[in-house]
Amino acid sequence: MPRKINSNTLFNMAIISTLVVVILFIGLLLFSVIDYIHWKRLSNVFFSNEVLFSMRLSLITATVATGISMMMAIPTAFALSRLNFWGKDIIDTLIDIPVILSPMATGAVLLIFFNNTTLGKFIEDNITRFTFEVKGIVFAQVAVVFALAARLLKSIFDGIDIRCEDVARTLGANKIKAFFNITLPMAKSGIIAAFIMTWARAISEFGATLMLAGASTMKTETLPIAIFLSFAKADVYQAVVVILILLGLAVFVLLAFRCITRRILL
Amino acid sequence: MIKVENFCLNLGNFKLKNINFSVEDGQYCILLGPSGAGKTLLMECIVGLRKPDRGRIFLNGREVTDIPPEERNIGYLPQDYALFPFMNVYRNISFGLRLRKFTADEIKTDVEDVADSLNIKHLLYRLPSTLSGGEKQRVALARAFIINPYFLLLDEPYCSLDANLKRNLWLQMLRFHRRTNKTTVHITHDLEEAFTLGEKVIVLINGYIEQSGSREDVFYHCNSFEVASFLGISNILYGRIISINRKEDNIKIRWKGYTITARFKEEFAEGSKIRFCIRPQEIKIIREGRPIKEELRDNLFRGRIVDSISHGATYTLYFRIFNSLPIYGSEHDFEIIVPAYTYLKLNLQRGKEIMVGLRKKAIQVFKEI
Repeated sequence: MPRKINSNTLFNMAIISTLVVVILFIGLLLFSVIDYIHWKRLSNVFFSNEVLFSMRLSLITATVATGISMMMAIPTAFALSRLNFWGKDIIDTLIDIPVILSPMATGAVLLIFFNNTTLGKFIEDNITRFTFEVKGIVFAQVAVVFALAARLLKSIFDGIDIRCEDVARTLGANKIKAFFNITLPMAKSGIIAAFIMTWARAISEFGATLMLAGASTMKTETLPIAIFLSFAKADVYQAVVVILILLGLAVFVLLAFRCITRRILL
Repeated sequence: MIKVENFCLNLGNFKLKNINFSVEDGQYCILLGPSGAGKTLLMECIVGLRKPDRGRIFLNGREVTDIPPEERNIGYLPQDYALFPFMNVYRNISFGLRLRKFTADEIKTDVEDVADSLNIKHLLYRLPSTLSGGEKQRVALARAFIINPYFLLLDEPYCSLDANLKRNLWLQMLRFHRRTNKTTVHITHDLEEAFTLGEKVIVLINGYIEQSGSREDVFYHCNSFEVASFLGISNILYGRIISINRKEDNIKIRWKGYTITARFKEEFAEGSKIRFCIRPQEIKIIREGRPIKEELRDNLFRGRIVDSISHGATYTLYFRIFNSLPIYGSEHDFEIIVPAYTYLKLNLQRGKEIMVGLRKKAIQVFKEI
């Protein structure tokens, strides 16, 4: 007599087969990239001036942009987490806009601001140039990743026991001392995790960078822009090498993030 | 001295209404009330973590209503202790001293002194996550106490501890208070804790101070039905005043066809509907052949024990008067609490016929709303 399959087994089979399909798909994509590599040519392309330049530029701009974003996001997130004020929900929603909006649209808005508005033109003419410059890359990255940093940090501050800050106040700490002596140390692991995620998002930023800073070889050529330019000049091999670099960074970042968040949870 | 004057706080769906009280120097004051009564809110305002909408707070004669918490010099122990999780016990306790720029030697001496007095010296280099509830409580108390505050404000410090440990810590707290004589306000909803520790008891119910006074005053002379029912007086009865005798200082109450004599109170008139209650401990079992005390003679009832529950050291007896009509389906008329010794000696088992007397002075009478 054939054995009847019960609903629990059916459910398990359904979720496991979905998981297998997803893993196969990711594996196939990775394999297609790795299979493309001619290992002898790899070092030539990897150490080419263009690839090294885009690696250096990406590392510098992503790190600077993440630093700026974190410095702005920490007080913003803390204010949203601890203060109650009129219009808080509206501000909270506004901050989320870059997360939802396409980076290309964010970049277009920035370009319009610097090219078409009085304030934007004034900044461009008298203070510093952002359009089609390296500073534009940093500006575009900050515009895109700040929201992510603020969102991550707010959830970290929300999770910190406000009672600890209250007790520190009664023990003689003013708000600044309570923040630096209690809140920040308690949020340390969370802030590091938020930094890593924000940095990862910044280094892979493409749309806003392309719109504001353009795609100039050996000038505003970050790693994602390098992929775009390689395909534009039909150099698929160089594109694949840059993709591999980004893949390596992604794996490193995800592992680091996992280690840190596990430490927070424990 | 702590003094709160005409204090109001409106949170929309909850209000603290016209709060007035004071705590004398060196006094141990219990802020007693059910959950959601507003005790923590009131304490947060005294500590300075919230601002009242109206009213003033004075600490040692100085108005502090608008002064931030760091300038009030109050030792505060919140409900969950809020130990700083990334600092060991030594650094937790010394936090306030480090802010005050004490030298390392001064800090070491002070921390060791206070740790010694609270018996936590062996815990100094452990992280809070490795401590038990009772240890955390003592560390938090040490941290609050070491800054030499004018006052100690404790928010349900024993609520998450088991009964035995709690009793142990109550005793330690009593001794600690006797030694330090620090003015203390302690929040609790636990009656036993309140009457063990409190020299003064303030009863806060639904955002309003229903009663305040010495522990005996509050316990034996509830001034409202709300206080009486919160204090766990289970024999709550409904009746009507049938006569008032000012000369003999008593009133007669008609209840279920019986007459009960209670002490006279100015605010009642003949015929008025009232609620009255008596503590289960104040109903006495009359032993056969023994003289009946004067205070019990007016309120004697014969009946049967319909149920009994053991609590270890005491027993609760459920007593029904012979031929009494059941009200709201209840099978008993009075709850009586007797010591286990009495229960065993008199063999007060279910079904036993006994006579009980209600102490006239222990009957508390309130207007029916």
